[in-house]
Amino acid sequence: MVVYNERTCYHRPVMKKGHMHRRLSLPTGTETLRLREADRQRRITRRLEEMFDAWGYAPVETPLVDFFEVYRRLLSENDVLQIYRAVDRQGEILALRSDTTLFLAKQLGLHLSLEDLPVRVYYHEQIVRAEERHDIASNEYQQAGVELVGLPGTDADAEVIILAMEALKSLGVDGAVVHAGSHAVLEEVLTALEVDSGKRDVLRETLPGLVKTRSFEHPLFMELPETYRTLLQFIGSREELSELAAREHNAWSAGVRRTLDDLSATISKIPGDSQDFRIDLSELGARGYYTGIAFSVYLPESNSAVLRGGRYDRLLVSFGIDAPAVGFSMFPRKLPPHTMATQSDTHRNISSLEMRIAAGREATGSRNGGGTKDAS
Amino acid sequence: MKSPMTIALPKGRLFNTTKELLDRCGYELEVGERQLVAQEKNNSLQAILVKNSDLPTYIHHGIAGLGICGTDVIYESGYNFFELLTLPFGRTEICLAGKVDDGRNHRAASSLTIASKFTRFTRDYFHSRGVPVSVIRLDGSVELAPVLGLAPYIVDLVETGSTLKAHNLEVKEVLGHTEVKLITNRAFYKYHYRRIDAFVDQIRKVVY
Repeated sequence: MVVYNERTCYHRPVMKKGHMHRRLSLPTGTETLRLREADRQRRITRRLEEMFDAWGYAPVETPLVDFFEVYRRLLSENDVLQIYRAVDRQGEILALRSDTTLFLAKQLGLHLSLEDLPVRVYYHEQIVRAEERHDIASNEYQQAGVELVGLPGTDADAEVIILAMEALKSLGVDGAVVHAGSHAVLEEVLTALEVDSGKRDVLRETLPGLVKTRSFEHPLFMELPETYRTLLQFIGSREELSELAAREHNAWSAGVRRTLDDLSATISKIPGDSQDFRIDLSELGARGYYTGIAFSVYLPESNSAVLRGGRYDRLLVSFGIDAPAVGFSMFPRKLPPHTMATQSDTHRNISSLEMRIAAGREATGSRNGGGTKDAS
Repeated sequence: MKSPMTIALPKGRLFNTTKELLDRCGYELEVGERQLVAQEKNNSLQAILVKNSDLPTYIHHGIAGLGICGTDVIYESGYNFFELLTLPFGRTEICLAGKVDDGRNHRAASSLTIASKFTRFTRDYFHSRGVPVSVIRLDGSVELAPVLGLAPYIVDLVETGSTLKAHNLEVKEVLGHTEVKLITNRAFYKYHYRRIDAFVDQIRKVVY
């Protein structure tokens, strides 16, 4: 039972119910960070920026708002539902940034020429996505990531995956595993199927979704030849894929074998425990623009991927530059709560102005001298 | 030693069938009276007993990695999971029902008013057929809606039809069916796929 007294309901005479509701909540798909959590997120960002800088990536920022029509043809129905839209004074429909890679692709297309390539960029930005009101678990409002533009091939793919894992390691995140799949493999499987063009169109439309959601009991999936069903369900190490390939070699098309070799070659270039890198052909990325490798990183305690990425060789041509690209986005809010959680409160409780100035100067001096003293 | 996997099981009529299935697979859950958490004696599985409609929420948020749940409940939740296995029990038809001999033809109606607890399904189903539908949410005793004049139609699960008959209602159309699935949080599956695949294989061997 709620007992109202003067203190708890003092606002009731002056605020209507609807106003109160809006004052206490935010629109879905956005959030505010406070005090320690904001501080922790800022430190995560700084660490990531240092890492990306050290790897030769340059910072970029994308617009918060852009014209919706520019992106419409690249969006699925579900993507469209997630975008907050507004109308400007001239009646143009605007889209709030809901996917950094997409907004960045337009900027890169506008401002780069082929002579500038390859280009390595990084970002840390907020995105806004409309969501179900009850769903507070997606936590993708903050995205930090990199894009490597202008380089095709397995070296570039391996570079961004290695950087992703190094970035997580620098944050002290343990137990991360990479699951990597490939749109190119699925495309070759579709090409290899002996079906008429109508059926192929249905499969091209439906199969990626079935594989991504691992809906392997679906009748359409069950109609595939067993050898390709086995392949598309595969999760395992590079060695286990080699064993499967040795058994099924003659049953797979040359295109399927070649794209699997590419995927395997990428994974072979990544140093570390091979058990941490799993080939998983149901990893096809969250967005429709991926064309090659697609990967996600999972942690033992997370309820969704903390990082996703992949190759998108045909996205930039939509914005005027025909260049391959590969990248990833990390979602810092999905990292475990202990990530970069240590902090010093030494100076937070200083009350006098003189002492605060002295402490600030001391910390700044220490930092300029190469120290790391907390001046917060 | 590996920590136990947590599976969410629905309280109510599905629980006993599910427990029996897990027993046959070698996972004997010890459930005390009024307990909502049950341990398996080998400590490889821990079960949490939750309300059917809450089950998807626990899995979506990663509190339980696995769960056994009807496709109707999954659909209404709006969450996405990996559906690992269809279980051989709990298959039920989901039907549009109304009063016997009410003189209406729902197929010819320009719009429909329907009472249901399956609001998402009802809306999506009729919208996919191009029929505007006004859905009134009820959480129980849906059969009362046509009887008392709240709505001429209901959408509900129908097993034997005896409840409908008792209220002078009849099935107007079978809209689909629900099945009971073993589901998993997607990230949990990706991380623990070997253990989960082994668990699924054990169940598959027993039921098929």
